[in-house]
Amino acid sequence: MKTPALLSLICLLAVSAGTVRANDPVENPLQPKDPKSFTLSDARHLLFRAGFGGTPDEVRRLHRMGLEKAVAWLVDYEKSPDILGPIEITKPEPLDYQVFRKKSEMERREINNKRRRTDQGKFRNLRSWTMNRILHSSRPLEEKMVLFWHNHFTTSYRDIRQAFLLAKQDDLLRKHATGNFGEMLQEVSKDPAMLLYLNNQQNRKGRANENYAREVMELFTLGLGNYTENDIKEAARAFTGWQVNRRTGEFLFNRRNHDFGNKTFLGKTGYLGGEEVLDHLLEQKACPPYIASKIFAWLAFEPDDETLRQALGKTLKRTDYEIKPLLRQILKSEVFYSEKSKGSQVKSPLMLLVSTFRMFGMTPPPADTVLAACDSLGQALLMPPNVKGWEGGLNWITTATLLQRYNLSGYLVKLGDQDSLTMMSQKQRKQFQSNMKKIGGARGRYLRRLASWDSGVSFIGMCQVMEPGSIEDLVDKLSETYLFAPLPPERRQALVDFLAGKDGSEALDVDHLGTPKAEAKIRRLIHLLMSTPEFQVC
Amino acid sequence: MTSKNSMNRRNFLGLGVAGASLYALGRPRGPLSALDLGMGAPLSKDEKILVIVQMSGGNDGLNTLIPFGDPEYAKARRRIGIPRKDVHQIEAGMGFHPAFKGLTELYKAKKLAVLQAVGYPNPNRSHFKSMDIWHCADPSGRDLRYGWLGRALDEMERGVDKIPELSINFAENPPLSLNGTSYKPVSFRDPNTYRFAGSKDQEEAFKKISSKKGETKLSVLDSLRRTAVDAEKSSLSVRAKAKAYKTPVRYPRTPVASSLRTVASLVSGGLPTRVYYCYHNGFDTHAGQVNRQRNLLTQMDQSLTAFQKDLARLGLEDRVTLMAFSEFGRRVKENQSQGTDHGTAGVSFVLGGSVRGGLYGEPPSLTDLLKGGDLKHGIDFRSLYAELLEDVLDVQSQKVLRGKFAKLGILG
Repeated sequence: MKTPALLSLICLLAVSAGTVRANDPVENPLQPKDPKSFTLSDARHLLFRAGFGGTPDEVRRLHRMGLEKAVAWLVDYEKSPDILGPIEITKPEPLDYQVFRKKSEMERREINNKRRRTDQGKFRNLRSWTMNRILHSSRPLEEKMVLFWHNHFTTSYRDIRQAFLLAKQDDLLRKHATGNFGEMLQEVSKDPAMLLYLNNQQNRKGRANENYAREVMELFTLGLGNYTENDIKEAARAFTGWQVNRRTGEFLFNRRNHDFGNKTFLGKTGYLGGEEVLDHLLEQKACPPYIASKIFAWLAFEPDDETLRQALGKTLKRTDYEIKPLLRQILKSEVFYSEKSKGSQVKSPLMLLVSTFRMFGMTPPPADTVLAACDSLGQALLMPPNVKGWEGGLNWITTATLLQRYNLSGYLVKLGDQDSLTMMSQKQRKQFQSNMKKIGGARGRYLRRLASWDSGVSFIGMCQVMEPGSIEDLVDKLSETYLFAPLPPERRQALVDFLAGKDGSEALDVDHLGTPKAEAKIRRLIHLLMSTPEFQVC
Repeated sequence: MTSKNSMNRRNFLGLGVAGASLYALGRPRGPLSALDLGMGAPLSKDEKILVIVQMSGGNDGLNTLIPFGDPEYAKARRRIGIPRKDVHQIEAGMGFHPAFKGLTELYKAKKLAVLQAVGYPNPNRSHFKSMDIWHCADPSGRDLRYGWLGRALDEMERGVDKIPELSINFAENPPLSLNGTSYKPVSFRDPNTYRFAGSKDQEEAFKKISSKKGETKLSVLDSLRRTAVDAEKSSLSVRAKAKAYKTPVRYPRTPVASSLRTVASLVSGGLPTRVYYCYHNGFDTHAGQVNRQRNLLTQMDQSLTAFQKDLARLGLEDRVTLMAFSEFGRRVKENQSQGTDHGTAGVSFVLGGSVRGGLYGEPPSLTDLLKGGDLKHGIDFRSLYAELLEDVLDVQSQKVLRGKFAKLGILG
């Protein structure tokens, strides 16, 4: 037989062709970035994408570390201290059904209401803890990836109504956030919050509920078009009897409800349990590129060409679904720092808020205030709208939310505090206060809470270190430092005119920045800078 | 498929079909002069307006349109049933909830169409899912990305100058139904808070920084800039119209009434809006239904009646059609908490000067029920949509609804 020899020759040729191509940036979509080309702007991009941003000083520090060390610091975050530590959310008090059943309907309703209120209190604690980790963590990539998995393996308090199950799920996602996707998938599929959220509790032999089977393929592993309706039916049978023990809140394999019959699933026939179905999913060709591309999109941009998707998938496949190597490869790739990537993401409400605190070096407001602001802008943490999670991107932006973002920014720069107000002309103040009153209705309650918060930031100080030579210079330096997209000339001019007092208001004197008047004017300038489409991206 | 009106506009622009599609690709905006006050091309007289009132939570249809002539009704509703003497009779054995005083008059004046047993096959009893199904006109629940109105608005703005206020949604976030593949609505809850809040010297600068100028390669930023222009312009135009509006008609002080009052102000102010989306929330009456539903229906009656009166005063009632719906009706048999649980088919309303008033559909059987004790539907809600699409919005319904649905003859 000549064939094997011929084959090996072909293989040899292919391999050598591959090595030649590996150095060609056009052919390798994940070409490593030359560490010597790691600029300050690259460091900023890295800090805002693999984390939630930072002050110009923090960006400089990351830049000085160099690409290798910077990425290692982010990815190997276990080496950094865990400042906040874990949270303990207790299970609901057991309910004595024998007693409960004998109560009148009114009493039963009363008991249920009380239990619900208790649990909502626990849920508020859990949300605050989650937000505090994001606000204060020294392991930014951990929080970024936990958030990613929350939005991948979606569940919502609205459906689960048990805070401790969500806390348990957070544990699980945190444990595997940069670990192994295969292990995470196996554990998530037995996670009580997930089983309840996707109705696997009702999935029984002969009365299949296909919800989990469908979503595990459509959303969690393969994506649409890689399986048939029949595969869903067969997979659903495999997951029958995967339940939650309502008493303990633990996973329960209920043999009586499980379908032990043979199944044919994605070309495989025989007895298949849930574990085998999941393993078989991980072996599918479509799985690695689907997961790797979703991680890439979270950090960089939506990969639109197939070569890139396949290259990402290859890394994940090669490491048997280890997530860290993929993260390192992405964060050290040329394409991550490309023009296509920088400034291409719409800040989520959470990102808008947290990155603003971080980039200006503000002491954040209490977590519940930040949560309320996020809720109001459409991102209710631990309560995504549906199983697909937040779609993100431009879906965050409506005419209403855009103006809300702008108005919220006014509060973040403390436009309305006493110092600023006294420095406004009477006419300016009047307009401002009447506007503030109008936006601060029942739905703007969080805004009023922000009014009494001390961010501890001096905007004057921030500008002074920039040593601006002129008004134009100040506008340019501010937009260069705090915007991720260039300000078009007309918009830059509008800000220059504003500082120059073209409309008849007082002008800013860059040589005498130390006055309260200057501070007030600069806050209004920063507010305008934040009230641009350009500020909404990073 | 394009609407009649957009065809007219396209001809007016002197573009053939090929030119029009190229034009659509670039998605250009109108000349600034026409948009100075945030107004697109003014609405022409033959362009009609659709107002949606979403009754969220699942309104109990059987206690709204009451089949008091059916002895099964009193049996199923022993504790929360509406006594026959209180019902406003509209047809033999059928009548409105006592709260519907004004709407009974409008029914008698033939301006109100009532659709009974409206629903869809294989009903879903989850609020979210059933609402999504209504929004996307997809009873299978498979493709819930784009809404029926969004798809219609996609068609309506194809090949014509984009008008930001083509639809207005009275909430911060748009409902799925207004989500088009390219079309995005103007959203706000209250015209008063829909504004940029800054000091006097900031407002001038803000106007300039919200200009559409500044081309970029990044399409995300372009879209953001478009929304920024839409927000700045529409917030000015909407607020100006709403603020200047004076009417002798008294609207109740409820969210739905203030939305409808704003609609009247914007229609009379000549805004080019074709679709308004309002909300009347709180119909999930699992317990203590009697008082709760009475309050909600009273608010609804007073709001719709005031709105209709206002439009009539303005001579606009023939141009405006209002449709009210809920994601499902409720279970036939009352529960143990003097309430009702999630059900299936329900009641929808169509109100306006162009409406052929009356009762549509067959009364649902209270004994021949679906498994679980729910009503079988008679009218598919997509028939109602087909009619609104074709006779109010001038859009061919078949493409939008992905199928042909017979109209009911509500709009002539």
